[in-house]
Amino acid sequence: MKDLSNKADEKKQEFLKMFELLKSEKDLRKLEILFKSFLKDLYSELKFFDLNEKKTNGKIINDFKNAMQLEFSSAYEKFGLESETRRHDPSIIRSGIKFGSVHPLIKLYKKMEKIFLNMGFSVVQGPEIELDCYNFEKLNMPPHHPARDMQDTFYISSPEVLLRSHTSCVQIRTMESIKPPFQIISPGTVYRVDDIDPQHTPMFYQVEGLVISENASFANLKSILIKLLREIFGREIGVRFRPSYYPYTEPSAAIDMSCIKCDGQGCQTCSGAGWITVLGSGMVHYKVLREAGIDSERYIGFAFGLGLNRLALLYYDLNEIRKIYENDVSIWRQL
Amino acid sequence: MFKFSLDWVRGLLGEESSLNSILDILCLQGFEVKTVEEINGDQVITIEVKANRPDILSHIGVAREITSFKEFADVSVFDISSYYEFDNTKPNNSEFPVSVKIEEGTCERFSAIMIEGIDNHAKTPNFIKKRLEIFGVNSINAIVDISNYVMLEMGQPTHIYDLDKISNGEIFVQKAKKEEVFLTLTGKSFEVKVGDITIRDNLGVICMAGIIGSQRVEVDEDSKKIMIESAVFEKTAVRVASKRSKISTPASFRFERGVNAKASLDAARILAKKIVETCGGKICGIFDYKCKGLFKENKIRIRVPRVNLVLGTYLIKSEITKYIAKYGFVCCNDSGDALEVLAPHFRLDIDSEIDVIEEVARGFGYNRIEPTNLLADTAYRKNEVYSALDTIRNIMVGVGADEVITYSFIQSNAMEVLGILPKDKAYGDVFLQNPISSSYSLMRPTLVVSLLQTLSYNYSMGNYDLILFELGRTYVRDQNYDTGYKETDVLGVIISGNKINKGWGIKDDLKFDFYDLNDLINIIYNEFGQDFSVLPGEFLFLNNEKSALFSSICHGFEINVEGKYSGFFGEINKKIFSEIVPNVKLIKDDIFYCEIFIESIKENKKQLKFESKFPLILRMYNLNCPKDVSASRITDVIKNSADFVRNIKIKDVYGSEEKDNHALLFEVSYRLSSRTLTTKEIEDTEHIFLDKLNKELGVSVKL
Ligand SMILES: [Zn+2]
Repeated sequence: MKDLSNKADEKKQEFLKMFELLKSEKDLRKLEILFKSFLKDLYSELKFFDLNEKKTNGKIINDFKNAMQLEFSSAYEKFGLESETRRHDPSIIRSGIKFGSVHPLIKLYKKMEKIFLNMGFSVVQGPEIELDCYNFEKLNMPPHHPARDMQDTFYISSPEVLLRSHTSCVQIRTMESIKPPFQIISPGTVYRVDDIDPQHTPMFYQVEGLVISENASFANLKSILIKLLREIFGREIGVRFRPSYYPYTEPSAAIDMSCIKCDGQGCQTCSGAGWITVLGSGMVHYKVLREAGIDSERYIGFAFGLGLNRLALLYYDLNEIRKIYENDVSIWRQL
Repeated sequence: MFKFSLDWVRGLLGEESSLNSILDILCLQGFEVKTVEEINGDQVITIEVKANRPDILSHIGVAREITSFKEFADVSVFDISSYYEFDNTKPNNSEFPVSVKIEEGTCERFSAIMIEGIDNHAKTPNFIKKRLEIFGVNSINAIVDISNYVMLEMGQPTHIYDLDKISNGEIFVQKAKKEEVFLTLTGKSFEVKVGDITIRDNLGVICMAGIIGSQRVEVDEDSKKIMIESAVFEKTAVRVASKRSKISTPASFRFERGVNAKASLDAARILAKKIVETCGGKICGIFDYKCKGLFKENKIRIRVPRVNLVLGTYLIKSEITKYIAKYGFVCCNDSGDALEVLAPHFRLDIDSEIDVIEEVARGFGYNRIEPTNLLADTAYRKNEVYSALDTIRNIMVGVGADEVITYSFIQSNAMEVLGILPKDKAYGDVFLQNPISSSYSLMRPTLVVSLLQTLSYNYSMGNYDLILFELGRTYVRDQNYDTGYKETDVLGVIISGNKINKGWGIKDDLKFDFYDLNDLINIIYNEFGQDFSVLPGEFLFLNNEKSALFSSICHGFEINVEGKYSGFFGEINKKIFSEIVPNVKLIKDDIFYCEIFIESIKENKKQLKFESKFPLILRMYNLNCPKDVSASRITDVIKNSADFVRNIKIKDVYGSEEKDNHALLFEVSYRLSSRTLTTKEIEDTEHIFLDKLNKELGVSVKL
């Protein structure tokens, strides 16, 4: 049987002599390096042994290692040091590990989505290239309806195929495909003809919601939207509902929140009003329900929508809406 | 939008309400105040009037809405008949000096009053002139000015004809039967299309109904005999003609939205009275055409429980009656749980129960409706694509990538520049008809252009060494969809620059390379437990590849999942892109791109398996292989040599560019679940596969 005990013993005696001759911390560190490299050699010899030999010799090496380590710790103590001292400087940041960044619109959307998911909403999606009937007609905006003027639309082939000007089309598609009751949000990109300048972009992100059940009331709508805004902007935010008009909801409401810059005192952001309009909403119009094949006597519901880009400007306190699509990632990384 | 004068409204209200209180009322009643300007000592207020409330497009309308807000409102004071005193002589169509023939379906009402012996040299009354000035309406002559004034006050557009200029004393209101052109008041020519509603005499068009009159019969200072037209034309026809001709007038703006036909004759009477007061003359005929059912009462049944169900309130009948009375609704029948109410004649937007419920809500006050928690028993529906997007976003951020969102439209010539032909996989030809410019015109069939643009933009901003990703959509034609277009959610990833910068003991920068991109694709598919295969690509905007995987040269690679094209990847051909992404020259390093279709990723259930307690044995093999032998073939041979081969990793690839061979360093692990493997067993296996590799693939152990 091969045996490493002699080799280990010899070395042990050698090291013990050297311990006596130590003059400085430096000598001690040198000695430790010698010890470690010898230990490594010993271990590497194990490879060539068979299983039984490995067992016996493994113990021999371990005993040797333990004995020596005791010597080393008392030697370190002699020099007033802990045995495993390192020289790490936490003020050096190497940036060797990289973590990515999420686009700020998505980051804000995800915050919102979490609130909705907790309230029991599901997320649905639909096409961006839409038929006129889903974008307008089934939303109680027949051809030549003056409300169509509010949304300047991109056309793929006019008049039938267009780029959706809101995500309400997804709500219609959902109503046509699943049975109430349901609670959904439909996030996504929408398009309106606008040149690209600091305050305008031809595309933006919208989040709309729809609840259809036998008892979803205007009072419920208020509760959900107040919760949403307060979760995002803070408990103390003021929320105001005032009458508005959308062809697809009635009664309709515009929702203002107290200006977060001036606390409602009036400033440039809120044009002096103290309030900023952030959401549109209302009780789904019975004609819309009927178009989608839902019994409008049995079911009622509400819908709401918001443009995320403008909300993001407020939320992140930015002043140029165009920057959202320029994607200077050094800015995204600030979040 | 509607602009009104504060003084004017105060005059109608007969009180000095403060500016702020009026602004507050309008805002809370649903008329957003856009601007307040001071002009000539008056306040001119612009409010947003939504499409459902054309009755607010007048000073009387605004005054009515402000009054409604008061505790004891009585809006009936603003009924024109009670507000103004005027001659109530009944119309007599047969005695009207002009023959007026009206085609069915052109208008709800057509009232006309004839006045003769006027003197239009008379000066416009000062207060009228001053008020028009505020709205930027130029004074033309007394008659026209008074007519504009009446419209601003009452919302009824009127038109005035010089009867001496009308041929043969005959007027026809009809849909145009042929195309023709006439000169308008402003001297521009108007192209009339078949079906447009026109007012004409024997010589041709004298007015585009509700839009603009003709120069030929225009009233001037010498006019003696005139006809006032106060009509309500079919609104779609007005809108279509106005949109088409791009002529929008205060009259057409109102007609498109709706004008109260019940008040048309009264408006004509008031206008006639004011003209006679200023210009003299005498009324010599009144004409009135009404469509059927015009004066039918607008009665609506509302159910009290329904009101409370919709609003979430606990209102009782008397409260409901009180709130809608403020807006002029009169309760005319009360039976059990329901009420029958009569809507005021000026409200054109009320035709169903919900319209009245909205008025209850306004009257009660939106802010007084108490928020209550929704109790809806709805099922959660999982959205597969959407949750895959989330998982991928997490992976990407975890590997240090930055997310971007770019425009869905790209340059109109992108396909030609990139050499993508209709038969090719990344081809798209979905163009916008009305793009904002040719740079934002083609609905993108791939994200590669947008991501390369964003990458070079970031380089120009000093952000280097990037992995950028976008979770966006691509658009192509596809008749299998009801829209005729297919939209695909895709992940686009673009990589360039240093993966690890030199320093900290590393001598040279370590660049991102093809294998980083390849790792990423594998990480993503592995996360979902989804297998995929790689096929040779034909993407001319990616660089040539002479991959050991395929016999011929290809352009990038195609990702294939279960036989379906599911994405592509490879190295960007910078030269080809430089025409549409000029800044690409800022990027000196290689650029790698991949696009993965999210729909190809199905979440597959994965199982955890605990490994045996017997030791894992690792062996390294440094193999010398011909470059046209792909690593996957070597791996297959090793894998198939024994069941106890657990895992095969490629630890290194090296060798010079020129040589036909390179070295691959393999790490192979072995383990049995039942016992410890003997050295001999491993050595026997090694012999088998090394021998096979040598004979079949020309691969040898490197010494
Ligand atoms: Zn403010």
